[in-house]
Amino acid sequence: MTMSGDEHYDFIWKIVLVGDSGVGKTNLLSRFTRNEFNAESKSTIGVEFATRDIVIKGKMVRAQIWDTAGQERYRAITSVYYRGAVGALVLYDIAKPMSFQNLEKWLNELREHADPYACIMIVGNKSDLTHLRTIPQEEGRLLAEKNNFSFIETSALDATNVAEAFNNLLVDIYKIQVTGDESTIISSPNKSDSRFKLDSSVTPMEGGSEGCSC
Amino acid sequence: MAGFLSIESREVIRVEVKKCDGLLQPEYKRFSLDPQITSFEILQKTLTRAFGVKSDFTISYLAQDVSGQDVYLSMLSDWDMDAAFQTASDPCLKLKLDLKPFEEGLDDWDIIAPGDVPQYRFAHFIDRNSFLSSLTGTISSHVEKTMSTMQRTLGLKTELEPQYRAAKNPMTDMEFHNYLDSSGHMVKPEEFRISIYQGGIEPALRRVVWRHLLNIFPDNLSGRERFDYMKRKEKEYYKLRDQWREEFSQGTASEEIKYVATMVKKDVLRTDRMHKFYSGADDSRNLISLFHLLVTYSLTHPEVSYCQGMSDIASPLLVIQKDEAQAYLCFCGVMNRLRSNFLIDGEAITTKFNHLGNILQIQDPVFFEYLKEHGAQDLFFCYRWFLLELKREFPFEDALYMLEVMWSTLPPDHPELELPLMDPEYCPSLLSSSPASPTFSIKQTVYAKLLSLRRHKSTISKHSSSSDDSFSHSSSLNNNNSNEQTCCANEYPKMDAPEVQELKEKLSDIDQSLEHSMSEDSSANSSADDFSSEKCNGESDIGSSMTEGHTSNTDMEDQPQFQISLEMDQEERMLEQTQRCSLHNKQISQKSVSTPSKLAGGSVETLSLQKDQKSSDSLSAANSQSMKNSLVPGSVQNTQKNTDTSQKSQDDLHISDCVEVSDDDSLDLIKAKMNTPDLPKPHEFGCGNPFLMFLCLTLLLQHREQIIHNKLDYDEISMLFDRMVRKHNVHKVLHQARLMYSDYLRTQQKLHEQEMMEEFGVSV
Repeated sequence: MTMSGDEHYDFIWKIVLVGDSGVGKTNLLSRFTRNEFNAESKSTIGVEFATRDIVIKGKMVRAQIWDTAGQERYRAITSVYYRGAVGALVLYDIAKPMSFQNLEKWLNELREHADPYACIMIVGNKSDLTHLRTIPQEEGRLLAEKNNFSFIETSALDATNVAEAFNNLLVDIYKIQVTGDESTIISSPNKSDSRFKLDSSVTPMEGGSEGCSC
Repeated sequence: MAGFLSIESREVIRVEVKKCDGLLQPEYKRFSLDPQITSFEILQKTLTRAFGVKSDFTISYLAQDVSGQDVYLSMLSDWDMDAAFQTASDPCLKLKLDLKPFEEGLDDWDIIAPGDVPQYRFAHFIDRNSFLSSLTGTISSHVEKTMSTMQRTLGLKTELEPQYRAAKNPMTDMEFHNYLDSSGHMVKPEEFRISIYQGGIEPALRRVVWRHLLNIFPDNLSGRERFDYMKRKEKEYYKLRDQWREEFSQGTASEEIKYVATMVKKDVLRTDRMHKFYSGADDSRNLISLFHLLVTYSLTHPEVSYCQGMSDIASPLLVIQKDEAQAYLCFCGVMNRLRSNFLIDGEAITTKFNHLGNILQIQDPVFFEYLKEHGAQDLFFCYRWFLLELKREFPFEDALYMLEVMWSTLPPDHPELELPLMDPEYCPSLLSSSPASPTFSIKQTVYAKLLSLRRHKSTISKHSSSSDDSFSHSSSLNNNNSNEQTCCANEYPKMDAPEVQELKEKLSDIDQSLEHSMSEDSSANSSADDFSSEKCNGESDIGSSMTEGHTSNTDMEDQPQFQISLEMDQEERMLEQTQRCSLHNKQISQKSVSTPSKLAGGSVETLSLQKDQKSSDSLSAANSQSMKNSLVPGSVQNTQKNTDTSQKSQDDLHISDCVEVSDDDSLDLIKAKMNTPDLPKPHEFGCGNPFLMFLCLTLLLQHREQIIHNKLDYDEISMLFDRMVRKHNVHKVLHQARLMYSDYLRTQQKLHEQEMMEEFGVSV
């Protein structure tokens, strides 16, 4: 096997997934990179990884996604992993108010450790749990707007908006990292759901680097 | 003795079976069986013939869950059957037989022990009447049970990894009893541990033996006393558990309890759910047991509280003990050693990172340099390895084997009087949500502490300009923690402690007789440049000193870890020493050990260490750059087997407690040259678990070629090891780790002897 055999990507970007324990970070990642969902996935200890290659505006981008442990206790260690991240998905569970309240802590964490130009997206996960919802979509959107972050609701379980979340974030990153266009982030936070259509500019590559056996 | 805590005392168990076949009327049968001679396979055959079943079926048994509800639990193995006998057979074991294809979500389990998969198909061939009539009391079926257990064990080993066999077979019940006296006192703790180190434990015996390995018993209990002790401690556990459950049921639980319970629940629901023990509904009995166990521990140990990863530590204990309270005792035993891993200060983990970095640098400077070039020398991808002591890195059943081997390398640490089930600061009144509940702030303080720690860290990392500095960053962190050693090594006697001084005095006459052999030995060590040839001299010197039977004494001072088995026939002396030592300090009672060549058995092909040494020497001579004191990984052709085991001369040192047998001559054996004075002593190395360090080192080295060859960068290395979760080969890893570990111990011993010589002014 070769892990780095086809090195034909133009950019490699590190994205971190953060949020309280149990909000679905690992499954959001596995849904995006392997199209898998495992209701009984193990708690993440330390950090786990996956990559997926995506074409944005003709450039091959390797998204290298770091899935970090959610429990507070590990933040001291996981903060190391923020180093070099150019994007972050900050997750909460739409059925768990506590996970929403804790967003502030996670955002502070990012402000302290991540690249100041890192793109941040607030993600309300588990949108399939309509009957258990306690955080209205508007509330999440408001918080994101207040902080000039983008916002999306996803369901790793039924795959709703998962690719969109990652792709939108990657396009944001592209703007910052490649075109140096900061204004998009600063001035128009409310661009989440529909502005960047997958079909128009973003083409997911099949497979990514997953599936190589060692 | 082994059976004190199981149901072996019951002679007959009455069984009532209900056969369900789709919409057909259920069919009932009753019979009795002898639990001592009935294996799960026999039970299956019995049922097959009793009902004339022609297709596959599943068996479940009626049990009561914690809330007293009747539930059917599936019975898939001897373990389940034993559990059923034990917990659900009074007055009558109720079985349900479902005629449907056997399917289970096992996809995610890499390895299933052959014995765990019921063999339904050939069940029809046994003569019905004769079988039923001979069900109880026949020797033949007893033999059958033993045989099937053996086949299972052997089958597991040989099918998985034929080329890496352990030095001996797993410990059996019969063998275990050899380490006890007639009333059940553990009388040969060293041999007991060496045996496990060499070959692990038969699955069925783990339940009993793990309790010994996990230090839940005070020293020197008889079998009867252990039984009483267990019963008492179980009650104590249930009392602790009921304290918080009551608060829950009365709705007076504090925020702290609710917070802990929520966190625990989240993780229990996703801990080893692919294992049959935890499969089934989210509120199945075993999951609830795991939940109770963890919440009770977290609440009664406020300093630790709940931390992710603890469910991974507890899960195998519950699978093996099958009983919540007994598993709790084992968990307390494990956590006594591991709690520092879970503390917010992160000191223990930091130390382990540093130690692994050190040994990697010494063992494989090329690989270390590679990692450094890629900014990966901080080894952060090993975090999970340390935290869970590699539990997730192997398939579940293999992890059990790895764990028991690792535990066997640790010095016994019996509780002084009793195993404490809670921390001294625990106070049940804190559980209640009284208006001024003081514990609610715990979470906040913890977070505040964490923030300050992180700020501390980030200040340091700001000083370090590039990622290359991250390793020194953690070292400097480490240096700042002046109490770090005490956290890890506080149970070992200090060199200047009075009892140690006393021992030293006792040893002085022994030193006289050591003088002869040691002087040669230390001259060998003094010249590091030509290490390889002289290492051999060193070995034989140790060998000869050991035959004089004195060297083991020197271990008592500060090397509580097992020494490699250098001694040939000094059992009596050692027993005597054991007793004497234990008077001074329980920790130092563990000393160099006995005659594992006996345990290994004459038929086992043994690798002569001297020959190994030569073969690796020739290799390293070719690679003179990394020659001095490093491990040279590469394709060392292990062609130098000593096939004639009868050729043992006195000075031919067989390190047989680490004998690794290989059928595959082309294996890449990495020969460790642990002439590594820089490495910490066993009681410090890896915070007192040096074997873990060698296991981790092995995992790294076994992927070294892949990493270097494919030029993997930091992230790719991290991802590589991430993907290897539950996929490492336990036999291959243990094989190599044992080799390196024994070399390390040997060097440590030699160094120690040198120190002793210098200290007592013996000319070197």
